[in-house]
Amino acid sequence: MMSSLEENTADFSSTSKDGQFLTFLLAGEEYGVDILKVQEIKGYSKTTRVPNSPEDVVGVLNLRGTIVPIVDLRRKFGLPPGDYDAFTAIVVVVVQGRTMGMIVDRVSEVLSIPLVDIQPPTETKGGQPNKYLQGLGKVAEKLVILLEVEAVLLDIDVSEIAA
Amino acid sequence: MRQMVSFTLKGAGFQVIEGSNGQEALSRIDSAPNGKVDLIITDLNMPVMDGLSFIKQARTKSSCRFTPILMLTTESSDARKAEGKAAGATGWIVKPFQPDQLLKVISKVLPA
Amino acid sequence: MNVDMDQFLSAFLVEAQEHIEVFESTLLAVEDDPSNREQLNTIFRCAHSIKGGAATFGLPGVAGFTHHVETLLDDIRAGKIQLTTTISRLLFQCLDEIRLLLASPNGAVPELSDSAKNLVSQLQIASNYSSDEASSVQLEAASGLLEYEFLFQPKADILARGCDPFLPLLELEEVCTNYSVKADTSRVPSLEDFDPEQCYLSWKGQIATEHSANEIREIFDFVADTEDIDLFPIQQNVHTAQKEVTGNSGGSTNPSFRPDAGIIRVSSDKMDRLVNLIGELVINQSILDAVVADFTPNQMGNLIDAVASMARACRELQERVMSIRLVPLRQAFGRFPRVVHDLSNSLGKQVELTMSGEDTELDKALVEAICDPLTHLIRNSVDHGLESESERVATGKSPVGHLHVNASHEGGSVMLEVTDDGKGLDKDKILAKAIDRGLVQAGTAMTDEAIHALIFAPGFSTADAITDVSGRGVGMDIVRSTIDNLNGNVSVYSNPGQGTRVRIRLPLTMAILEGLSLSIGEEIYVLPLTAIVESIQPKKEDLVTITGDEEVVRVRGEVLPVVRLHQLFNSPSYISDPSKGLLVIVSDDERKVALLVDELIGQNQVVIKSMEANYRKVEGVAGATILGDGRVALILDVPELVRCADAAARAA
Repeated sequence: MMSSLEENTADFSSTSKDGQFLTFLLAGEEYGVDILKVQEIKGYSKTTRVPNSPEDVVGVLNLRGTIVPIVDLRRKFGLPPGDYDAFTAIVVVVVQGRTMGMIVDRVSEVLSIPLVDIQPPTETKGGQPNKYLQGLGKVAEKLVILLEVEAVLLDIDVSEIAA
Repeated sequence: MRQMVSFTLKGAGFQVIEGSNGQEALSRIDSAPNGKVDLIITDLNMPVMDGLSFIKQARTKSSCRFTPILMLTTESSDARKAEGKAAGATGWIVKPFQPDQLLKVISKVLPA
Repeated sequence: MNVDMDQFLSAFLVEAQEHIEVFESTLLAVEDDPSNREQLNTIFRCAHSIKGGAATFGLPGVAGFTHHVETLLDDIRAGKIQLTTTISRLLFQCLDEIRLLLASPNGAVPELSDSAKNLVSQLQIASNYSSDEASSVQLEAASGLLEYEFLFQPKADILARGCDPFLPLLELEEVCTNYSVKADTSRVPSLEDFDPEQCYLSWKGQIATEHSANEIREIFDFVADTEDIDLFPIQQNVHTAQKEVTGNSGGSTNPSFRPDAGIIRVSSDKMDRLVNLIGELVINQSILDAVVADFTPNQMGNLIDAVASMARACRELQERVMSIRLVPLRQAFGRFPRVVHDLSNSLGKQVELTMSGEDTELDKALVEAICDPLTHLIRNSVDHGLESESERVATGKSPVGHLHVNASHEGGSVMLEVTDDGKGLDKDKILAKAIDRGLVQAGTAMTDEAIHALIFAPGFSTADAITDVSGRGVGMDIVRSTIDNLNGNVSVYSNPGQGTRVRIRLPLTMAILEGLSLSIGEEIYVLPLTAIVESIQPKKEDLVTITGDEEVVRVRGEVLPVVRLHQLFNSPSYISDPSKGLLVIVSDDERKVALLVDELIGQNQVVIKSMEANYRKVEGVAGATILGDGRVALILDVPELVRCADAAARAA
């Protein structure tokens, strides 16, 4: 099941000219993730803390009987903490066979972005491109920060794996 | 199991009368053409009347005194066979079996 | 008729496994009592069933090989060959070969492997076959014409069973190349005494056939008990009618399969009860639907009833389903006599193995998983625990070493014990070696139990000589980690000169846990009930802080380390003063620690969920579970917590 999903993703990005992204807000900025990695979106509910975990893993949730770790993206990106309110959402994604959740401020929409309008990540001051970034998408006058979900959630460098 | 036995027998040209337990079988035998059958095949594990009681009952009927009776058993132990013989069974087939095994066993108890 | 045989294959493999086990245990018993005919018959029947099934289900390799075993067994059964130690050893080897054939694709091809061929020639030598036959091994090898004299004397009452004594004679004629028979009418009485429903005849004759004596006996199966038919071989014809068997294995050159491929046998009435329960659930469901569909507050009572009966059905269903997974430990215990038999022979020791509690039931997965660790413990006992005969005699013990394996239920868990009356553990030697290996610092004060527990440390072995049996320094640590993974624990007790006892505690099942839920701050945790000794509200004067920050509590004369769970887990709690909270004393069977918690919530059964599936292993946490309100609670890992406390104490 999982592997076929990933294959589809690969096919999709190599053959299609458009990328589909689920976008959401985080501290005023608009972010996007590959829609094919998204399993579902659910409202925020209180998580169970897991001892001795990284600070950005706020806890685990019960998702229809499986235990799913939840990452607060504000904490992950070192953004100022926000209040959890009625708009706060958990984006559940499947990365490398694992189901994980990301807490975001609010979910906005599903965007189709032509691949030509996606700018690859630029090098930061350290000389390395930000490994969390897939690129920057230009939609009308907006800029959407496109995330590499594997890198964000599993803290791995996707480009290194590809290389 | 009953379906497989019945299917196999019909395929070999037998006329088959079926009953889902010993009690039913006894009454079906009575209502058979001529009131008798040439061969009885019974499972041991059945509701209402189990196989061994059925065999004993059948042997008391004048129409079934010398009718070959085969029992289907999952157990190939000598104890089980002795039990069957004591009840009056002519022979047995150990489950699971293939259709041609069934026909072969029948040929051992029923003159061609 | 098109019947898919593959679906029967796995059932056959399970069955074959059972036959092998019976074969093995009976062969062991027969060694002690070679004259026991019934046991010889049992062994023969096992081999026969394996052969028959293997031939049916497309495993000609297994069938062909087992045929030779069966032939020898038939000779033994007939008293033609004595069951000597050499022969029983050969039979054990054959048994292993059958196991191997069943588990490998080789079983599905008619050509035998070299090892099997080798065994077959040994079998044939044992059965006094001519040696040139031994080199030509085929499915129906040894297919020379055999001549028999036979006597068929059916019991007088067989007609009353619907038997026709002529039918087997006709069948016999068909399978024989030479057939002459004469009816013996001497027992027919005079007409006035004649009962037409009795059989007075017997038959005598000579036959020549390619079939084995067993196959001939089989023809008379229905009409004659074993004693009613006699077969005397006249001579063994050496003209071997070599039949070349072609390599067509019925199209099933099967992929690799394992005997017992995850199959559990369930009795049909257990199954029926499950089906009934499901039916009950469905009815409950529709009642609930109806109540909810037009719900008014005054229907609250109905709703509560419906939910209650749903809950009852669910609970019963859960118990029933779990009970299906429970199998007796016999399956694991069955192989121990063989292990002890082989090992004691090769070591030249006399060992008596006794077992009890084989019927204790345990989750199938656990029974399978515990098999190897137990075997290792048994090998260890025979190899290292029990002394040599001379040593035993010198210390005034019986020359026969005694080994006992026991299983029993204890609360919600199963206790397994391996006890020997050997020399016991040598504390000084263990300590010296542990210091030598850097596992302990020299001069550390340690209790006996702590020293004994060192044998489970990785890289530890006390054997003077490395034998091929054990003593490679791996093993005991693997035993420990396997048992840890099963949520069990292991401990060792020993008295110098008197013996050693290893105790393993296992949960009944891995999927469901009897737990005690407790709270720390806002979080709820679950402790396995089996690990809990007691819970206390400590008095201030019983709490002592030693060496700066290590806290201990005195409980009835015992001094136990206090673990503040909220500190260990770095989480906010309402209570930080142990004298205001609760201490739950937990044990991993060796050491006890006191866990500080806010309060106890209650006892309940929880379903264990994996944390690793989507996240990772968390220290001190064995898994997670879902509470009644849908929230997740973490299940505490007691052995790990005890180890943490130990490490903290050592660091302090």
